[in-house]
Amino acid sequence: MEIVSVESLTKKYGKKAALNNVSLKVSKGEIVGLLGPNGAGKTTLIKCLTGLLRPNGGSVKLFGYDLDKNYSVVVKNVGLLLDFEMYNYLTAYENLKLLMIAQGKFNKEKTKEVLQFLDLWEVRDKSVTTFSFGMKQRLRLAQALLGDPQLLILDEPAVGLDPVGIKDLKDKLVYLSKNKGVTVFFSSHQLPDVEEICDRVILLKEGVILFDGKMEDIKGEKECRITVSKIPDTKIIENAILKSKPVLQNNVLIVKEEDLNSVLKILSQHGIDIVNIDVKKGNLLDLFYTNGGEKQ
Amino acid sequence: MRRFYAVELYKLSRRKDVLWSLIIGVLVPLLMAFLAYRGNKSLQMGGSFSAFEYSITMFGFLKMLFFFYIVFIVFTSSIVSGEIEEGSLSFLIIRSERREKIILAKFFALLTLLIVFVVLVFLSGIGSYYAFFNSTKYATHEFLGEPYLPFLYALILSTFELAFVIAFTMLISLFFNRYVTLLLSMGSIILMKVFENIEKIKRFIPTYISDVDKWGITITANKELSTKALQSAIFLSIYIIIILIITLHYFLSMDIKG
Repeated sequence: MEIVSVESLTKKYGKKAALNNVSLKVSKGEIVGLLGPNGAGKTTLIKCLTGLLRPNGGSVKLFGYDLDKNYSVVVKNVGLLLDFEMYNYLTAYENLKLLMIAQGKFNKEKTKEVLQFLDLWEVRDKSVTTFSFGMKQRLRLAQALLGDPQLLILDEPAVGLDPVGIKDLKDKLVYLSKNKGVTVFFSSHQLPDVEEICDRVILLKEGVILFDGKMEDIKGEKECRITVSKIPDTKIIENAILKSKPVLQNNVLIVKEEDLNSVLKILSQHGIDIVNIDVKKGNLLDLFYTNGGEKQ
Repeated sequence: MRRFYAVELYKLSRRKDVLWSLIIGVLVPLLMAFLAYRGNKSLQMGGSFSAFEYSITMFGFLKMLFFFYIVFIVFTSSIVSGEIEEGSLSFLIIRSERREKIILAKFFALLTLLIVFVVLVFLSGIGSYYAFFNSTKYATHEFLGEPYLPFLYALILSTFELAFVIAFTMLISLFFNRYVTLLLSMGSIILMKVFENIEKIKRFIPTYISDVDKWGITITANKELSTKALQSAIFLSIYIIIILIITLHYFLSMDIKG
């Protein structure tokens, strides 16, 4: 079953398109990581998925229902985390209590469970103004988990968490996905974490999806790192017909395995000596760089 | 909408600025009565007052000082543009089947707070009267006094006018941050006070519509006064409804950027 279905979504701020004809689907129980450099449109996409931003074109369906016509589907089934302020003049407990009342019914046990899970139970009666950034982030996560949502949409959930907190978060997301069928769609800059828990990765840049594929496919792809004696003119390599765009990092040329022979031939034709060739499995970092991501 | 109304009321009740404003509102009638009781020479009051008249005069005094305008503009801009800016409004939006519930809940919560203010200032006035003012030369030693209708209408219509200010500030809050909203709302009220002096348009200005003293009706002409008061209340209600409709219409289609 498709939990998220986005068709030709476009969102413009003035004349600039933050999202340009984006289409994607997320199935039940999947953990999907949304990657992209700063300003790629990740947060805009997340806000469009939850109805906070009104798209200029395209459609969003959640659980098979059109978001515009059936917003109650979001209310009942979606947990959202965004980098927004909670009510700072209230305590952590009061914040969650209020949001549960807004959701329908205050449940003491659920509030306690969520606060305990995120190590906030001890500080539940402290004003949020006294919280560190990490504690505030955990409180934002707590509100997303209230009401046992079937779809979690999280915008950079690991920001501000310590390593133990990040591990707990990953464990919880995997647990929710594998044991309770919760679908998780989250954006992140933490590539190793995305690599570790995601079933699928979507790479967004300048409002366009550059890559949408399964983690196993990324890991299965072999890439070759060719160390050369001198830095080649990138134009000569770009002129070659290759299956993917090579990346040049100092004097190391990264190419896909299927392009290796073509590249070696070009280098040899231009008298560039090969110092070393290292073949290894693909990873997210390389995918990110290959598709023009910025160094984080 | 009830659950969002409860949420908004709870939030307002936990704000320190709300608490301090209430304390000031309650203390002013008390302080004035105490000064009159001590025979303070700087305090000059024209005429004599019943408990009811004193209480409503104190309400008018606070309004004249722009106290009510300022506090309700601050509260409204904080819970609308403040929450839009900080993003906390998003946490409510994703919990509401319909966005309009949130804005209506905020309006009615502020309206409730306004009524609490009016009642507390009124009760404080009555209490201060019997505690101190009753033994001064300004006191008539009556509860209601005659004529009391102009005072009653002044109180009711001022409440309508403040409800209008809340609705108006809500609308501005959707477009600007809280500080610009504060300036624009206050500026609009000052402008309305200026327009009250222009004969051709004054009867359309909310601050004029609600000001019983400016109608020029003999205060003993009860029937005429009552009719005018009812007309004014209807006029202000229409203004409030129109502004709320525009606010809801825009709020439904706006982006919540945070």
